[in-house]
Amino acid sequence: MEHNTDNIIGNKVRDAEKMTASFKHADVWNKIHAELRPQTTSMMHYYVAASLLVLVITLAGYFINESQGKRRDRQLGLMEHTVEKYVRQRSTAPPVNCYDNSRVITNTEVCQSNHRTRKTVSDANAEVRQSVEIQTPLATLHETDAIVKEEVILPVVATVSDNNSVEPIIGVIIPQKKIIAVVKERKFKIRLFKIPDNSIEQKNTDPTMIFARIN
Amino acid sequence: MKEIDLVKQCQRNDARAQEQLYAQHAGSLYRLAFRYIKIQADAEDVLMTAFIKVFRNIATFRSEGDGSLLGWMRKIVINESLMWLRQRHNFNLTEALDGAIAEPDLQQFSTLEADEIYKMISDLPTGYRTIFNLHVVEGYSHHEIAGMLSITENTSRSQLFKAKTLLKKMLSQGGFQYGT
Repeated sequence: MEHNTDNIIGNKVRDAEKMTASFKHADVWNKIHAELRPQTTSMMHYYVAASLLVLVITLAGYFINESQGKRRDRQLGLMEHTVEKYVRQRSTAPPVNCYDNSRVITNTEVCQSNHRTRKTVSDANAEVRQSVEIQTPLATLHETDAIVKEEVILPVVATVSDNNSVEPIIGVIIPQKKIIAVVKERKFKIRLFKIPDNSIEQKNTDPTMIFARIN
Repeated sequence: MKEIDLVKQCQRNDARAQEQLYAQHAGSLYRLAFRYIKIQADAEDVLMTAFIKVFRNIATFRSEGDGSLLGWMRKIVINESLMWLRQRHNFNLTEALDGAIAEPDLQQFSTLEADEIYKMISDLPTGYRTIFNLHVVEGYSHHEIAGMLSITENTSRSQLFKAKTLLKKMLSQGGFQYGT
């Protein structure tokens, strides 16, 4: 009986709670909303900041790769062009007899030598003879009948010769201390020599590369 | 919108769904809080705190059909109300009655209109009102109430007895204003 009365009272009270309540409905909601909003805002800021960071890192990585790629392409392109040109000229021209057994000449000098300008080559000999000591080869790359691309951390001189070592030898140095030799069409032996520090910067006017020529 | 859909949207922190949920239940939950707190501004504060907890914890809510959400929110409001009361009222001050207590019969009281009963309960002193609300309206046992308010079961029974006695007296006097 008593329990039943309690149930009736309880139901009536809960029914009474369904009636319209007069309180500051909007004010309470505004406070709730204000309390919840910072959480939403901070989460949103976090996501925006994280997205921006990812974007910046991605863009930075892209531009770094792009610039490195372009620089490498530029170096490779220049090298390929120069060496191929030299090899092509060497394959059709008779040997030039005006070089020493051990010397380094500049890019310009190679071109000049190919044009048989004996005087210029001789002058170049005099300059280069003082500059670079060709030492014992650090390494000899395998012969190849295809394209040879090799990068060596150095300072080194790369030399390229054909198999019987009679033909003149060409080497390429990149001042950034990487060396790339690219030879096409003919079989060449690539030999890498260490050269003294500073010799390249001191003795060569062309900062992009030098050519070594030895037997 | 179905309750389950509203819950899902609230779980995704959808502000519109939160506002809709608030609009649907704020009135009844305010009256629930007011039944315990009795002071409008404090009941509003309790309601606000309770709703913030609802929205922050709604991800943990598991629906068991329509109405389960309201039941869950009612529990939060009651807990918040009790927390508010415990900070301001010592429920142990009421002297426990010894021996078996024959509770007053409230059959006449139960025949009143719902709103009249609500108003008379709200006029009870804090201790009486709280135990009466928890036991008669919410259906908690004296053992559960003792745990919730850190009092003994006897204290809970005593307060309920006194609450019912006072209600009966209020009824016979045609209304009664009692201070908190």
